[in-house]
Amino acid sequence: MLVYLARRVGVAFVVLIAVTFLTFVMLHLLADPVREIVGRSATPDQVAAKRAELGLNDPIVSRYGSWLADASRGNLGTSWFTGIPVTETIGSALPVTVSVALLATATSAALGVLAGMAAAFRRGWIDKALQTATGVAFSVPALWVALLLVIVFAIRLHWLPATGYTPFAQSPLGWARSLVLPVIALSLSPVAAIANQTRSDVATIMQQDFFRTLRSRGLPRRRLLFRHLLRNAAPKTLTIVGLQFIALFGGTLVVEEIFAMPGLGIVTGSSALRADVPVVLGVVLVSTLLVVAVNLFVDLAVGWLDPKERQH
Amino acid sequence: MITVRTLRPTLLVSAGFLLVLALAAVAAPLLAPHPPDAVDIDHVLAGPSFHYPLGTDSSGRDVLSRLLYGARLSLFGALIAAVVAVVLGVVSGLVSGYLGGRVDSALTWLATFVMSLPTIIVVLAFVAAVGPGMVSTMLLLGVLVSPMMFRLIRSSVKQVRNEPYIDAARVAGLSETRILRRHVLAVVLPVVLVQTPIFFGASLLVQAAIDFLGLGEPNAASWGAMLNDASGHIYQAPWLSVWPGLAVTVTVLAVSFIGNSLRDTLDAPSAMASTSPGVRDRRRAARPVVTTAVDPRTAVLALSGLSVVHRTATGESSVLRDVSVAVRRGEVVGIIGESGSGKTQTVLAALRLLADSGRITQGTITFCGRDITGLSERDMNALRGRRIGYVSQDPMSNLDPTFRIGSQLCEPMRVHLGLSRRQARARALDLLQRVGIPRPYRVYRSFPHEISGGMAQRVLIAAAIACEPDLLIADEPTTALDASVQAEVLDVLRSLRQEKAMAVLLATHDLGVVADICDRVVVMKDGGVVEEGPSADFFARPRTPYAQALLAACKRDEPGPPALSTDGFPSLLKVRDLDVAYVRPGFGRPAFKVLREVSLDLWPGETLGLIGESGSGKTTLGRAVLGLVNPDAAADIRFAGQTLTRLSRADRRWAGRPIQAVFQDPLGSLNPAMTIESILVEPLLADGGTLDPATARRRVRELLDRVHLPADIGQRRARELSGGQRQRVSIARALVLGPKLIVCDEPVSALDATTQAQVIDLLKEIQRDTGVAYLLISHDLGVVRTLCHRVAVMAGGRIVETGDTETVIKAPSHRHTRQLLLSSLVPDPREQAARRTARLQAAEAVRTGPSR
Amino acid sequence: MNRSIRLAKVRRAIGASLASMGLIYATAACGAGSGSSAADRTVVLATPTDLTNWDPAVGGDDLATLFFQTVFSPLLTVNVDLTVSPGIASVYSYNGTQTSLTLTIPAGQRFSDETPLDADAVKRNLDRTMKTKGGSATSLANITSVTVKSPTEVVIDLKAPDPGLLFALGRAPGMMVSPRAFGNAKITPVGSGPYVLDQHASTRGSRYVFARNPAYPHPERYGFDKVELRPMRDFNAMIAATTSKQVDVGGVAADGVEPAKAAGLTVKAMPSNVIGMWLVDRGGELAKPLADVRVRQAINHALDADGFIKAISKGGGTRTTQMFAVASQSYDASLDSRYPYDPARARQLLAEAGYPHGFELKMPSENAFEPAYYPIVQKQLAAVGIKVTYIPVAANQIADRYLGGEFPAFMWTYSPSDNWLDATYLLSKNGIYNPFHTDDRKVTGLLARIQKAPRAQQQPLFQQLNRYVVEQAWFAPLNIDPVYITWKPDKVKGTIGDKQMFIDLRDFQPLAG
Repeated sequence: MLVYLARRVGVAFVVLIAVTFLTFVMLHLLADPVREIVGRSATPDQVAAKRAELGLNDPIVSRYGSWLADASRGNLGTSWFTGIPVTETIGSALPVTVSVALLATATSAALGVLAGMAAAFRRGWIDKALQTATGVAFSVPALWVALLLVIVFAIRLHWLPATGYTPFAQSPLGWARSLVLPVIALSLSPVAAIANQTRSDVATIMQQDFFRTLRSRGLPRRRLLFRHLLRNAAPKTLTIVGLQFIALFGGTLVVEEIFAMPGLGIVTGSSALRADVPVVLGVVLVSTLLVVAVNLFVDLAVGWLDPKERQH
Repeated sequence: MITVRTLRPTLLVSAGFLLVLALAAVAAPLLAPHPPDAVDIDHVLAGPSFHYPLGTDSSGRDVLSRLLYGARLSLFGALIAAVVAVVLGVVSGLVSGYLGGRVDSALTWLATFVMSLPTIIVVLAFVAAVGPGMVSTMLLLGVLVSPMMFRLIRSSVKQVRNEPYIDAARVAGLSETRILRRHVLAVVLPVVLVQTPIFFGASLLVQAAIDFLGLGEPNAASWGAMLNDASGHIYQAPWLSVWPGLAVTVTVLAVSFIGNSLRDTLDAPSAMASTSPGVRDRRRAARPVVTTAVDPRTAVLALSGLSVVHRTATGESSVLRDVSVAVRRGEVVGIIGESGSGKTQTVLAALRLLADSGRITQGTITFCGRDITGLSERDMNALRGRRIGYVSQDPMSNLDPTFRIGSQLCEPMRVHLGLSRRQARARALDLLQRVGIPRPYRVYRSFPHEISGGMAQRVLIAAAIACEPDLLIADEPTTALDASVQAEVLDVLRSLRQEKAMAVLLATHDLGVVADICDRVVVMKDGGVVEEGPSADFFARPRTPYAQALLAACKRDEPGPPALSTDGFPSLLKVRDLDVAYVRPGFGRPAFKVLREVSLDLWPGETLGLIGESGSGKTTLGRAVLGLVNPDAAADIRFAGQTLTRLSRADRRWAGRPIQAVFQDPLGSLNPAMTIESILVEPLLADGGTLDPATARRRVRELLDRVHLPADIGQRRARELSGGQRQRVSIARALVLGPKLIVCDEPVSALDATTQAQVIDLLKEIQRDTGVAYLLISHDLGVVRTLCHRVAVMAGGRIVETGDTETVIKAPSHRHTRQLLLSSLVPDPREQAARRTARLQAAEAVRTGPSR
Repeated sequence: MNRSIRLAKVRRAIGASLASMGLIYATAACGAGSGSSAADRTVVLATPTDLTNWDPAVGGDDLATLFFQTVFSPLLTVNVDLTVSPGIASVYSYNGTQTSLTLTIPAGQRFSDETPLDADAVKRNLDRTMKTKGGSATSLANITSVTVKSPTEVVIDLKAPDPGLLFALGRAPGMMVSPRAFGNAKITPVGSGPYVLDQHASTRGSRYVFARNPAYPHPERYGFDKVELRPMRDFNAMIAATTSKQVDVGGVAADGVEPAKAAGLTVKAMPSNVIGMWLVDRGGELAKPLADVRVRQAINHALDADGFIKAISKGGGTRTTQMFAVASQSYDASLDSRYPYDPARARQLLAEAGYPHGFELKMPSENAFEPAYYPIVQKQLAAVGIKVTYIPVAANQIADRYLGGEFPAFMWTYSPSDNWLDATYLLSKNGIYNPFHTDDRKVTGLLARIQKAPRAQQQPLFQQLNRYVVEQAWFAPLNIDPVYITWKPDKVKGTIGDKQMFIDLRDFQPLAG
């Protein structure tokens, strides 16, 4: 177990370095940020001075090395444009994105699992209806849904705020209200994915011998469903939920744009386009860390859920 | 593979829609009322009109025309991404999954790496660096999502690699590339077919998002760009987003419907195959026998005139016809018959656990005088587990793998008897001891995969009797077990009957089991009862020809062939000091030795039987001879004087061609995607085969004739054949290359008794005609006795005894051999009773004192 | 025009035009707030973009001005008619050669951290700004030294006359930061403006909350006790927030006018942006035909400005031929009829120039600019024989490639401000918006005369310059594309003049009572 963990962490470390280095090189190839930093009307001297100040004249490997050395000490530097420490920028944007992504994941996991189990267990029209619904949910572009939601619920009906994000600490109710529409828009596709996966898993499990044997023991339906079926479907369900979370985390940019939420997507978008290297690297580091951590967590959890794996 | 009949309407509609869409895209210049970029400054954001059927956009361009032209760009873009993802994913997945090892590790790492990349940043940075361009962005997207395809393909390839038919192809001397192309690709293809639409749909959605974010080409006529334009004017012209939105949605929907339908269609045959026993339509209805022996009112369980039909793709098929069976207290009733005769259906009907497609059309089920034919599920649940216990076939698959044995044992007691956790646990431990488990607590704490099959079967029995039911229904309770375990499990059942006066309904195809335990016998054929009566009468005087044939097929007590005289001849196969170890995954784990210092000789034209309990190493020995596992370095395997152990892969393949194999699982060892003829022709044509196709096909027809199969079977696929036919095909394939030796691994154990007899006869006939030698692996002493000149007894990875068949069977010298012999059942109640007594005495002797 | 690089989607026309919302302070006089202040007087304003950082010494970014003006006071004030009046400095005067500016800083002014705002603080601010790399330093590039004559008097010496300096001192370069807060100026703003930032209640990127600055000497000018700025990066988000009344003051583009009115909001147009085609390759380096003035004039005639106004601006714009601001002294309404839409005349001019069959022209296209223009421009130019091919450009490369001289012409939006700044940027040989460094003797001569002229005598020279550039067709401006400011009439009293191009916080006051 420890060996396994150590190996996974080692691999994660290598992935982190590779991803950040690749990003570093990629950003290097982008348009030069210096002119944007000092302004259009800056003189060549000013540009050169700024360039030297940012260390852009050093070789790329040594620049990356010093970034890595700082990062390993928890210092991600400050933005070239805003002067705000990168940790602070990410610290304020991360809760937004994580709120949206986590809530959407939780919503879609709960709905998807329930719908998938109902479809597999009940079959018949419920199954058909759910199949069709998940098909549509998967196919509708989230951005279109988001636009329609804003029009209907915010502008026409005034039920919910159209835009913005209220931090939880400021107002829990406002926080919840500001997340309803984005979460709905984002959840459609993952609900469909999770429901389909759960449905086919549960259907497979129901066809297995042990399920008939369990039925032969006269166990009540609820017990069958929520103890045995759920428990057996759990590893695969968890895997897909993990994948969906990662996808959601990366895909919040569109809804952040539409709902004007100051999340990581916006930070990413603006800093990537203006080549704000410290911020982009920080975001990449944090999001890769998150991806790696979620994957590791899911793998460990799946291993724990599957008794056969648990021994190793 | 996909026939028109199995296509669903949704597939047709979806495919039709996409076809129309594709045609419309191609014919856009003809169909569109305006060029895509034609602007009308006087009609900007106009509503639908005659001139502009769907209105105009923010530049006054015709929405319908742009929608049509947009189909070109959007579909093309999504296609680029999907094709890149699929091609990259399939190639790398195939390589990785098939080769394994370092390549696999490297590619898996690469996939993890790409998947860890923050997609949005990569796309942003890419567009920022390269500039907006649909083709380049979609190419990148394809690369970024390809790891998902890679993972799918890799895992399915890994799965295929373990299929018996891949082993069969290897044994047939096919090269790796050919196996990859012919066998692996065939399995990967459905995955690709199913996944490509999904990737296509997802790409379409991502493309829309990229255009929406303004990262695409301005003014391109794509649906995403149209959504972008519409989103900028959603207040002035809210309907503008409807058209591209719908276009994307409906297209993705159609595409995913195609994916789903393809998956269902491709899955369907295998699903049908798995439920095939009992679902086949039978023309010859068995004439029902009138049973009057038992009064239903006094019986614990009585099925009276029960008929059951199953709904299938082609209509309803009858699986039970007018079946009447009754079981009294303290009585063991055996239901016998060949597979597909309706045994399992009878048992499941009694439990009211028929599959969803099944339905009782006639007759009644009475339990302790109460009609339970139409009882609600809730009321049935009060009976199941509480008053009716059920023990199924195949113990390992009948325990929930995710719960500990203890929890599964306690569950029914807590539900039905309302016991506390502590009470249930005490009782469960008690039960485990009762069913003969030596260390109950260890098993109680174990997960199903941590215990052996015999243990698992006992656990199932313990669970079934936990609430002290009046009736125990057992479906082939011992079929999957070794002889000695089988005998012990039957002992447990017998004692239960005696102590609790429990009624037992037992379905089995093994007449030995019947002889051992049953009071009465019900013989079934084609869903009906053909004969019914006391067990003794059945064995002594079977009345119907069917019962007679059944009995005759089981009685194989005629002595086998005498040992051949081999003095002075060189042996055909010579195995010396064979050690095989399996390396367990993980660091620092010692390798697990499956074979230790095995040596044996086999002469031309001889049959050597390998017997022993499961786990004794029989199969591994066979696989080592076939070159499917690598022995340790010291080992030497020589065939016709030539060593097989120190050859290159290609040389080993060539040298191994005279050694062929017949595997246990006749279905698994035939590629489900290929016709019988192409399976048989393949070894003749592949890799150095000198025959032209016509000759090869003629050879195959001769072979089919030789194994007594009709010639037209060549055009069919494995799942369309019966078990016996499949095994004949396997034998034919083993014969294709004119082998000197065939390794037969449990060649008949999956077959019915009558079919077994036929296949055994065939094996004998072939040996007589061709002089081929057999290495026969079997746990069935009867089979070994009829076929083998000599036997080798294996235990714990070693050969413990070798000798002439008759000598070994009549006068076993090793303890293991004796145990094996005493435990094996004979289809004769009197002899079986004697054997049982001898076995119990021997066991008692071992327990009381180690005198020997 | 000085747009920061944001995600492409964000911008379109609205992003560009709303950018100017906060560009300049409006008239000081326009809002004497009503005396009675209710307990909770909060105004919520939407802004089209987020603040980059809080340091005015760095931020050459115009977009930051609305943020800056809540917290900081400038040395001088720029009015809506683009004239300059006193700010922190109560008196300002040039010497005869226009090379030395004397500012009087009245005693008793303080920053919100109680640091005195005196001549010394002004000098330290200007010195720091000149040393800080960024747009603000560029605006002060002509300064040779800043001298403290007394606690109430500062003298700024210049190497050459700089007609743009006063304007600059009313914008970011003139915003005074408490010297004690220099070290953390990017993150924590400490100024002498009407409000102070409430860091605790603010969420970076989402909302910035300001409370009154007790040290501010004229609290009556600002009626609201609390101000909240909400950056709305997305076009629809802005309209949605406005029409769903999440914000009290917002801005919409033409599309949002009807919904905003329907939602009961007051809507006022500001003539902030000039949309047009820039004919920058006036020397014919890449596109030889553009060297001929008749060809450039032909393009002016070929584009149907009124059509664009009707189709894209929903009738809300005004046809123009000039790049200078409507409110400015250079603007000459009579010039706007110089190039009527006349394809026949355009073809004739092309024929006279030797291109009877037109020519081919490569132009860039990108999503930040209102994309609806591209196909129409293409069609109208094709109608006179000019075949336009568009080359897609990524948002981050716009500045480099457009201003790097890669394209002979392009479509763009310009937000004019001070005449001198516009003239140096657009017309001078090394102006940053003159990518091919077109060097016209007449233009250079006029610029030199303007530079040396006292401010009062500049107007005729600017008008002469404007007329010449229009006649030479250096650009093909199409229309003045308005920015629509909206507010809730039941909560806010808004005062926006007809020619006003930029909003000021003081334009919005609470309703009386």
